[in-house]
Amino acid sequence: MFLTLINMFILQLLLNCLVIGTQVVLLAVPLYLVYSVSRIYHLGLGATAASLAYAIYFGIDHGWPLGYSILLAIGVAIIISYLSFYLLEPFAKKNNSFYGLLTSFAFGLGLEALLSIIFGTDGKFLFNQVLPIYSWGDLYLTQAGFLTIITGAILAIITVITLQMTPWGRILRSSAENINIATSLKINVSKLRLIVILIASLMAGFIGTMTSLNTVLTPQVGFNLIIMAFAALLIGGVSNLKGTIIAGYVLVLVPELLIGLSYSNYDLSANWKMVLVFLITTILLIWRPNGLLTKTQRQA
Amino acid sequence: MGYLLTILASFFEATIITIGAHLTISLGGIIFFGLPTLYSAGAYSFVIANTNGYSFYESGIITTVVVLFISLLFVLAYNRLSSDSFAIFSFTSVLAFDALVKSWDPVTGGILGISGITRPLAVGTLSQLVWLELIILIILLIAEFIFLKSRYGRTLLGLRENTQIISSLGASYKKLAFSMIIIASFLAGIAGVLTVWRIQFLDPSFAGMSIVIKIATAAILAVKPKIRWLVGSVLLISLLPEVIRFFDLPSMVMGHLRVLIYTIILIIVLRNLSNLLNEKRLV
Repeated sequence: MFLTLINMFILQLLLNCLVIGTQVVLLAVPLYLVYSVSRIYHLGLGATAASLAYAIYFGIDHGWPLGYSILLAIGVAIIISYLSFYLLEPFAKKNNSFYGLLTSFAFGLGLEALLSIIFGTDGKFLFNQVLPIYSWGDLYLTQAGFLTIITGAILAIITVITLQMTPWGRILRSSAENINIATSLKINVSKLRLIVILIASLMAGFIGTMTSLNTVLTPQVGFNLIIMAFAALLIGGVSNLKGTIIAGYVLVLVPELLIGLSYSNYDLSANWKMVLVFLITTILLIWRPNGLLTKTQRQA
Repeated sequence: MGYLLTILASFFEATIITIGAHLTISLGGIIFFGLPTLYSAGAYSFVIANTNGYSFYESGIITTVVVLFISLLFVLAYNRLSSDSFAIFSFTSVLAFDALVKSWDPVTGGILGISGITRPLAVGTLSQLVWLELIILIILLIAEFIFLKSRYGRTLLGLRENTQIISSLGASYKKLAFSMIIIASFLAGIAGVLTVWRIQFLDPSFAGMSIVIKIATAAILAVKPKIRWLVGSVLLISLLPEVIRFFDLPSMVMGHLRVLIYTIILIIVLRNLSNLLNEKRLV
């Protein structure tokens, strides 16, 4: 009986990790896509995720149907994408990733500050009613968690098929490899960057909404996620999507297991999560600075 | 008078920490976001040592050891990682340290923090503390001025431009970068201790995102290797938010408005950086 309880506890922990890990990976993928075409880490995607979730909240709070709220969120995504493109494009053209990173960081913080001023910092609930919870025996999964896992799987398949088997994916991969040659082949790299930023913003908005449904909506909801997504990208290797996906789940699984299975004098509260994420990132980056699955190449 | 002394003190403290950011972010091109971590670590280690019975001198030594240890971790990370990775790594350290001080209740007081912090007798009043900070600041500014005019200063500027050319000229750019990270860390630790002596209270919100963006904005504004640019940028960053105090805004909005102002200034400066950097190449 006791062993069954422990097994169910660990399984529930693993299920929760699957949900959170999928959220991190789904945010790491747009980060990877934007980096591929611009060589800039777009840290503003976290705030973009929060902004779109707030757009949906605004619509629902004012009695709009869900469809209209989603349309509003898409409109906000288009505006934020254009703004991000306008701010980052000059640095992408000059291949200046340092100032691009700083700009995206400032943009993200500014967007969060704006959300805090408009909506306040208290937690909001997107829906007033209790959302369905699915159960299999003693295992429980929220509707948002279920949607996250299903969407994660579908998006993973779509991303792999698009990148590997479509002309658009080939254009994206060629731009990631060598932007100058892609430009010489009449690929409009600026337009490509704008489209990628728009897709990244929409994906981030979806994750922001799912995270808010699972917890509460605050202006900082995307912030911790984007940092973990970025850490996953670094640990996995910036040009290796498979490594990023593995790293995303490792970064979530290990801290959750350590916190969940800690007991007695060694009990770790949930506040220790970011410390553990940082420690894991440090250890993995020092062990494999080029990425988990990336092989070191000769520099000269 | 108290308000004026407080503004002066916070300006001096901001300048001390920005000297470190000036050397790393502005001049060396090292995207080191970990200064708030050292700022907070310096303050916490000093206060914890002092409240546990160590004298001010002993607490100072303990703080020095803690700050040196953390700065060496950053040096190790800088040596192993790319510049963008190091930027995010150092930024994550701010979040991790914030989580650590919130979680480690028995030592740090958790989210409630530590109150009733005493100052050394020699700087018992606010005006005496302000004078001490002014003296420390003048010494540091003179030291930076001399450093920037020296061979090492010019090598540091070359670090931002082209590390390969610097290496080909026989200078070890890595040793210089490591030294700058360690020096910036100590300056942040000193600023942290001075700030905690002023406010006499310490909690996890001591060093957060607002400090990160404030330092980054001041450092980018002070993009030229000139002391007056450094002082001017910190003056602007410190005084601009004071203007919003005179508007009748809710107190909960003020902090976010301050961050918004900093981010707008930073974005404007970054977009116009090529005009600001209109100077002769040094290498």
